[in-house]
Amino acid sequence: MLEYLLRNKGKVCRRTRIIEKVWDINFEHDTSVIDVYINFLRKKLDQPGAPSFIETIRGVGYRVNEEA
Amino acid sequence: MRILLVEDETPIANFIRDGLREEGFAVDVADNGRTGLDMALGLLEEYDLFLLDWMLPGVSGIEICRQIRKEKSQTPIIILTAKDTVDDAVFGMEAGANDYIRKPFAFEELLARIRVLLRSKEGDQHVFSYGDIEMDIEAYRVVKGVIR
Repeated sequence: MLEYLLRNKGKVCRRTRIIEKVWDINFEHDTSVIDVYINFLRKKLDQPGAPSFIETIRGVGYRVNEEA
Repeated sequence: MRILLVEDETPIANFIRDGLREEGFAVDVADNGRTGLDMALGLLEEYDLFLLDWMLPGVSGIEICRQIRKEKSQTPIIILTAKDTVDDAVFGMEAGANDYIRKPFAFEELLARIRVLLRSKEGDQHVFSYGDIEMDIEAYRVVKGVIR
């Protein structure tokens, strides 16, 4: 999933696309697994105290922003 | 990376599916040609590679291959087959397949062929970074705190 987010830096990754690219078709009805893994990534990779490097786009998906 | 596998022999399908999942691919499986064709054309843009058995009930792998190419898709296709003459291989390539692998095969060989086709599609990038985070997808390693 991290690979997919980084390949699409700056673009909003829709939940359904993330599921399709990272898991397989049998998971399509339940995308909550994404949130669990986003949390794992944030816990491991975020700077303490700073906003997460993975932005939540409410109702759509997630985005890793282009670096300033 | 997402792969569609169309294979009617369940043990072979399971073996390939499990192996590819272990390597980090998302794998969908169809066990007959009709379903395989529907999935391939219905989700054409979603797949990064197609693995098609030649001999299938309903619609053959070669026919699926032709239909995919008819839709102007350049997605890599590998044909799996028990057929083993040079003519068969040539016929498969002429139908639009990028590669051809004979059963029985070593999983490592299949994997290597898949990687070659995906590499030419994606470019050779295997290191991605963000800030002080660096991910190497070939080494299966993510490092935080990289100093540049």
